Amino acid sequence: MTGPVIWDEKKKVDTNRITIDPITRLEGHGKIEIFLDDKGDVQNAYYQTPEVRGFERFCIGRKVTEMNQITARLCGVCPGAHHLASAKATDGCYNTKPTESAFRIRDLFYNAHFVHSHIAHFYALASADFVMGPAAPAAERNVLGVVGKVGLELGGAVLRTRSKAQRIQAMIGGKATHPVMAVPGGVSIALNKEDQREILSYAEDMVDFAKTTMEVFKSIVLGNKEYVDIIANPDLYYQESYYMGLAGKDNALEFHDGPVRVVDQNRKEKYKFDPYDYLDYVAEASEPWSYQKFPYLRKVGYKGMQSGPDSGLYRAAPLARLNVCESISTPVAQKEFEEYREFFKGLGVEGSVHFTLATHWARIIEMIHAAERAVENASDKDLTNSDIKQPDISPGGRGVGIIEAPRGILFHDYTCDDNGLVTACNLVVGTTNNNGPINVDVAQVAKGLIHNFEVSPGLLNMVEMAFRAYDPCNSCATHSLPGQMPLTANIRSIDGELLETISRE
Amino acid sequence: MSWFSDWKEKRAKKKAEKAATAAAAPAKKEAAASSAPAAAKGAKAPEFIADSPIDGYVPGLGAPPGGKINIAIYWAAACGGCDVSLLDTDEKVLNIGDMSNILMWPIATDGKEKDIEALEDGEITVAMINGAIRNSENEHMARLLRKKSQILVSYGACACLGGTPALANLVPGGVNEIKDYVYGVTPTSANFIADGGRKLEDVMPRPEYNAPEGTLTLPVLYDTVKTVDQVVDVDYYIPGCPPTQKSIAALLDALVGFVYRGEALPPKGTTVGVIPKSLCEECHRHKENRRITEVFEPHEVLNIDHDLCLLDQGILCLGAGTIAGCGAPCTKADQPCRGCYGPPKPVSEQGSSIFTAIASLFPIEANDAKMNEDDMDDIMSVIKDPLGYFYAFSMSKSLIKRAVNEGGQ
Ligand code: SF4
Ligand code: SF4
Ligand code: SF4
Ligand SMILES: [Fe+2]
Repeated sequence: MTGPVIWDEKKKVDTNRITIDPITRLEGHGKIEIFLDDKGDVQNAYYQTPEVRGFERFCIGRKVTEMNQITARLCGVCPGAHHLASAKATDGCYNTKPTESAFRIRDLFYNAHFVHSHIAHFYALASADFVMGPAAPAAERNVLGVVGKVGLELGGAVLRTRSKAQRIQAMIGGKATHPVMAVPGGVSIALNKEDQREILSYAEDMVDFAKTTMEVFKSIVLGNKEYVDIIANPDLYYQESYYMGLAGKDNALEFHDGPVRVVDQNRKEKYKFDPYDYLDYVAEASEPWSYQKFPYLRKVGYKGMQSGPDSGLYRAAPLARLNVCESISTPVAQKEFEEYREFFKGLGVEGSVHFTLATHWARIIEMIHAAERAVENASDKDLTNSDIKQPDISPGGRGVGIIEAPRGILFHDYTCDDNGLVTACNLVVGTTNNNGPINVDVAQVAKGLIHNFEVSPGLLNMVEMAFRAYDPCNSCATHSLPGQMPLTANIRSIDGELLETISRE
Repeated sequence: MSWFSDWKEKRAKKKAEKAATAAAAPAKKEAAASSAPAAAKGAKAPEFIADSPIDGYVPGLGAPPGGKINIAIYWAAACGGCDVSLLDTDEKVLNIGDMSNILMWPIATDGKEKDIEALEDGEITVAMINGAIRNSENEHMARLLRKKSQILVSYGACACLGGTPALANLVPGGVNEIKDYVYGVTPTSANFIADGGRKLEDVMPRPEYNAPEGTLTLPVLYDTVKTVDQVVDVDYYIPGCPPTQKSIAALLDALVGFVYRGEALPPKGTTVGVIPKSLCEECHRHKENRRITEVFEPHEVLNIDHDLCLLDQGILCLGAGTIAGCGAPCTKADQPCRGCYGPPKPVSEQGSSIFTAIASLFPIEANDAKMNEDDMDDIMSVIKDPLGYFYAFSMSKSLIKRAVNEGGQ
């Protein structure tokens, strides 16, 4: 097993502008534009998203009971998150809450969803950067390259466990992708004892696998001093933003239900608010150069692409959730969480962890927690209760559903009339929360790594790693997948003429 | 680990093999079946190796006798669920790798437009496009893949029928109305504009913007969401949102049979992975065909009879107007079918075939065929949002026209 390739040869360019675009046209699924000054240093960088689908508008006039089906199509990578946020908002439009039994079933479904999503991200997207190295040849920087290196046995376990997590969702939701079980005040169908036994055995396997994943992460990433140096380099993947997440009991880590908590740069509580009051705290900026919006803390205000106490940009997703929470309710995840906090304390961090790449570590801690929660749910003697629907409910009014999507806090806000037809709809989706911070990170990493016109494919990939850490689900935010963003850099003169193309091949 | 490997280096070698594959591949050419690679004929089906570390993966499949085929998978205006459905074939996804060079698959591997552009016409054996056509970029890629591919598959409800995003076609003011709502009316955006004393036109995203450092561009959005076959010629369709594993297996089996054993592909225009009858015949529920006197939402029926047709219980299930093949996972979960597989006959309008099926169950006197407008209104008022509900996946294929001025024409 040869070591990962971290640095590669630099190449001098002869232009002021670098475009990283998944497809060489200036259209498509997200692109980065880097502008150089006349010394060849980075002047500025923009991360643009090129699509808007307008769900907020075309959901108007639809039946509110259809919303958990329609909005699931925002994203086939995290349909479970939209399905359940929508279910909560629709509960609100019916002035009800799910029965206890229904909530338990939704929660079990959702923890399985988290495990599936975090496995897919870590192995299919993130691990290649670490296992193969950021400058490894493009043809190897993918999940198959990783399986080739770490062994087919682990590869098989990845596929099997992801498949079990999908299976749990399909058993509850009818289908894993675009589940159908949510109804206002409950779920469509109860589970029986046989289902419960099957689900429990899958959930137990998920816990084992999540623990294995932590070992893999520790040996490959934390065991490599060069990576630790990159992760902990305050000039690269580092940003002093605010953080937002749901808060469980005693501010424990929470994915499904609860008030929203915001912490500041020093990890002090800034706000804690009821989901129905989110408009007082969250607003969304737009910029002429991106179809994706830029959420920010309304009371702090919008200052554009900068982070800090005076700028309202906040971050969401695993890094944020582990800054927002004070503990984790399940034992193995809690132990790992303490180790995580200790590690950063060792680096002198007392407040929030601002290192963007720590997101990967946080994500695996969450994977363990979700698997442990799934075991708790699946062992519950009341799981097979049959009171899964609320009697005598009727539509009319506003409902706000906020949950943690794997990629960040997710807001669904609907109003419907007495006929149950939607009259207003607002959606703030997981990845969008991080849109501003992704821009800040991309610009900073580009500034830190590109000097004097010297650029290499590996360096460009490290720019890309900045946003891959966020697992930006552009399906949610726009419509493209969080796939390996192909790395072609078009080197353009200032008038846009293509001078040269650098790619990893 | 050969699957994402250097196909380019092997291209020279493959050119020779290509002649044989190309002659055999296109179902478009009438004689496809008989000109299959000779070497493939009578090739033994691979044996399953039980102690493979990956269950279900058939390591023995190896490279096909006639050489690997070239595959490209692309998302247009999609949610990603169609790509996930291919990954959900789990171990079988590795067999796709044995059988083919994957030249493009954005969820799993690199592969850029310029690589596709560099190919000769027809060099891709099979291209699968999921997602609808929503902007200039989607259309460009669909045309490019059509040109470079022998076989083009329209994959999933969005590609075949417009899917959920095509509900945007119901917005009368098209993309401008959508943008005004998204950036100006939604409360989080309205607060941004009001708090800062801004003007909507200053912060509205646009195709070209002069930033201090240079010009930034975004693609132009279309007013109307289109299907893939509304912009290019399509050879095969596979429906579903997303296609279920049953249907995908039918597609993969056809490909494996073709590549390894030289079996004939179905005729051009075939919808793969469906059973040509209505979903009701695949659904496990028995029908009593009672007349509907009251319509219920699924949550209103506290104890749904798991074995009785949902229509008989007053729940508007669209199975009667939907083609079979998915295995009816929704009705198994005590929820109605929403019609993601499309109409039973590809030519028909899904909304009207559903309407006819359901209308016949309402207690409206006289002959259903001659229902008058008042009767129709009665039914519609019970159904509340009939357009959104009956055309939840097929708005792009509907003849119902929106009064929108496409591209200023
Ligand atoms: S057909 Fe369904 S699963 Fe496929 S891209 Fe469209 S919305 Fe997603
Ligand atoms: S109408 Fe729906 S529930 Fe009834 S038989 Fe057909 S598919 Fe099944
Ligand atoms: S039952 Fe209907 S909505 Fe559900 S998967 Fe089948 S065709 Fe689609
Ligand atoms: Fe998503």
